[in-house]
Amino acid sequence: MAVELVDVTKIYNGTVRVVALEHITLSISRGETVVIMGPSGSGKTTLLNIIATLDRPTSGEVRILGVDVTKMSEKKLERFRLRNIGYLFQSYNLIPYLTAEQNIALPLLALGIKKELALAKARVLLEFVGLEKMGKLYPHQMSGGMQQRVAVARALATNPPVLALDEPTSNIDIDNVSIVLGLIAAVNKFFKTTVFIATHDLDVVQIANRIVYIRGGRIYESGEPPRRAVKVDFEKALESYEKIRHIDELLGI
Amino acid sequence: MLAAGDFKARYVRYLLATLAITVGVALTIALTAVSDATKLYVEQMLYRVYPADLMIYSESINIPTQLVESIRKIPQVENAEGIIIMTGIYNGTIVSIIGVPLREIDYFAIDLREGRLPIAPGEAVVEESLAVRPGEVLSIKVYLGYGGEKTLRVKVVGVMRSFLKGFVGAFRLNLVVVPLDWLQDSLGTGPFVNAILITMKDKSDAVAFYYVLKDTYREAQVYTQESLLKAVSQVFSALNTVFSIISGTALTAAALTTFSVMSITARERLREFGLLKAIGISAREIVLSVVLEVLIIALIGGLIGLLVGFYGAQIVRDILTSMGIDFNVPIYFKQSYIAQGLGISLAVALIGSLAPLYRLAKLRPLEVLHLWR
Repeated sequence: MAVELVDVTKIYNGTVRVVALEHITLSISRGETVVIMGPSGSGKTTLLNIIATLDRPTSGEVRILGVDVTKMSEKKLERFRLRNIGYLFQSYNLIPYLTAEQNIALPLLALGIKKELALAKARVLLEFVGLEKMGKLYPHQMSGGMQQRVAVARALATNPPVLALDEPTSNIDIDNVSIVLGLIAAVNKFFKTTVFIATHDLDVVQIANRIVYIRGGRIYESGEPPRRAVKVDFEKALESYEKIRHIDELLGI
Repeated sequence: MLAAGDFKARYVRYLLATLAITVGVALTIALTAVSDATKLYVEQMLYRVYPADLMIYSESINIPTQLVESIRKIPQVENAEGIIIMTGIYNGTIVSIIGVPLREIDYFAIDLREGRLPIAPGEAVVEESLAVRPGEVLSIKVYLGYGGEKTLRVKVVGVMRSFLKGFVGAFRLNLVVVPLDWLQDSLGTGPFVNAILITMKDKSDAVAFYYVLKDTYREAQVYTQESLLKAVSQVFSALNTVFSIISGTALTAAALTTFSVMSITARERLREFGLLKAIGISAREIVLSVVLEVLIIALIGGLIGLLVGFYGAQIVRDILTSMGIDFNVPIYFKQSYIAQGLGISLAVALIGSLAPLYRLAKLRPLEVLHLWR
C-alpha cells in the first residue's frame, strides 16, 4: 500500500474543541489518484495535511510507503517529506525572489544535489509542464496558471512517490485548469505517483481513480468515479518524461 | 540562493540594520582607538619626563642628602637624584613644586615654550597651564608638616609646555620647577629631601632593588615605574568605563534594530518559511539561510564601522586640534581592532536575531497554512 490510515482521529483543542476527523480508515495503492471532496469544514484539508505529514493525528496510525509516520520525530519527518511527498498549496506556492527554475531546484538542493544538476532537472521539468521558456522568469512575471504549473514541477522535483495537492485548480483560469489536470494525469501515468487532491472543483473528478467524500470529519462515501477523458498531450509528456528519468538516474533519485 | 535572493528584496531594511551596526562598531572602535592612543601617549610622556626606575618618597622632608650619595655608590645604580616634591597654592590653584638640583634642572625633560631654565636661586620654570609669562613673580603658599605655612616668592624665567597637553584634567600638575638648594633654604629644611629618583644600569635589577629599598627604608614609600603607570591605568579605567557606556548604548541600539528588522522579516516571510518547511527544507537549513543573511549584514556593518571608527577618530582629533583644543594624540591602527570590530558586529547581530531565529526554528508548516487560509 502507498498510504494507509487506520482509525485516524484529529481533534483541535483550542477555545472550542473541534473534531476535524473521526475514525478514518483508508488504504490507497500505489499509482492511485484520490480526490478528497466535501463541504467547507468537512475535514478534507486536515486529511490531506495528515497524509502529507504536515499534521499529526490525535489518535490512529498513518503509514506512508509502509512507514509509520505518526511516531517520527519532527527532524526525521522533514527528511521523509523531502524525499517522499510533493505538496502543492492552493496559492502562494513559489518563493517570490527565485526564478521558476530556481524554485523547482530548491528541494533538490536541499537533498544535497549540485546546483548545476538541480537546475538541469528543473529545466526538464519545466519542459514537462510546458513552460520550457519561462525558466528565468520570476513568479510575479507569470500568470496564476503558470505559477501553479511551476509548483507542480517543483512538487515532482525529488521524484516523490506521493503527491498531495490542495485545491490545485481554485485560483487559475479555465484553460490552465485543463493544463494542470492534464499534467497531474501525466504525472500519475508516467511516474506511477500516488496523488491526493483535496478540492471543491468537480472538474478534478475526471482524473480520479477514487473519490473520498468527507462530511463532518467522517468518510461519507468512497468509490470509483465515472471516468471522463482528459485532453493530455501524452506524446510530448512522454518525451519529457524520458529526459526526467535519464536525469533522475544521473542524480540517483 | 535563498539568502542572496532575499537580500535583493529587503535591502532597505537590511541597510538600516547594517547602518545601526556600523554606528555601534564605529563608536566602539573610535573610542577604543582614542583611549589606546591617549594611554600610550601618556605612558610615553611619563617615561620621558620621569626616566627613573625607582622612587623613594616620604611625606616629610626627612631623607638626608647623604643617602642619595650612598645610593649613587651602589654598583647597580646608574644615577640617583634627591629632590623635593610638594604642593602649594597659587591664586587659588594647586601647583606642584619640584625642587631639583641646579646642575640637573632639566632632569624632567623640560620642553621650554619661552624663556630659559633657572640658573639662580629664586628662579622658576613653570607649566603653561598656569598662564604666566617670564618676568612675573609668583607668591606660592606652602603648608609645612608641623602645621606651619610659608609663602615662597619665585621669579618666572621660563614657561614649559604642559607635558600631557592638558587634555586629561587628572594630569594637570601645574608644575613649578625651582633649584633644590634655594627651596631647602626657603623652607629651612637643611640638607634633606623627600624623594630620591633612582635609575638602574640594568632595568631588570629594578624589581630586586625595589624590595631591598622597601626593606631598608620602611618609613618611606618606594615606587617603581610600573606602579606609577598603574595609577595612570586607574584613571584610564574610569575613562574606559565612560567610553564603554557610550559604546554599549550604541551597540544595544544596534542589537535592538537588528532584532526589529529580523522580527519583521521573519514575520513577513512566515508564509515563505512555512512553504519551505512543507516542501521538506529542514528547519536547520532555513535558520542557516537567515543566519547567513545576518552574518553578511554583520560583516558589512563591522567592516564599514571599523573603517569609519578608525578614520573618524582621526578626523575628530583633527577637528578638535583645528578648533584650538590641544588634542594632538597620534592614533595608531592595531590589528586587534579588526577582531574587535568584526567580533562585536557578529555578536550584536546574532544576539539581535536570536528570538526571531528561535521562532523560525520552532515554526510548523501547518501554523502558516492556517495563517493564510
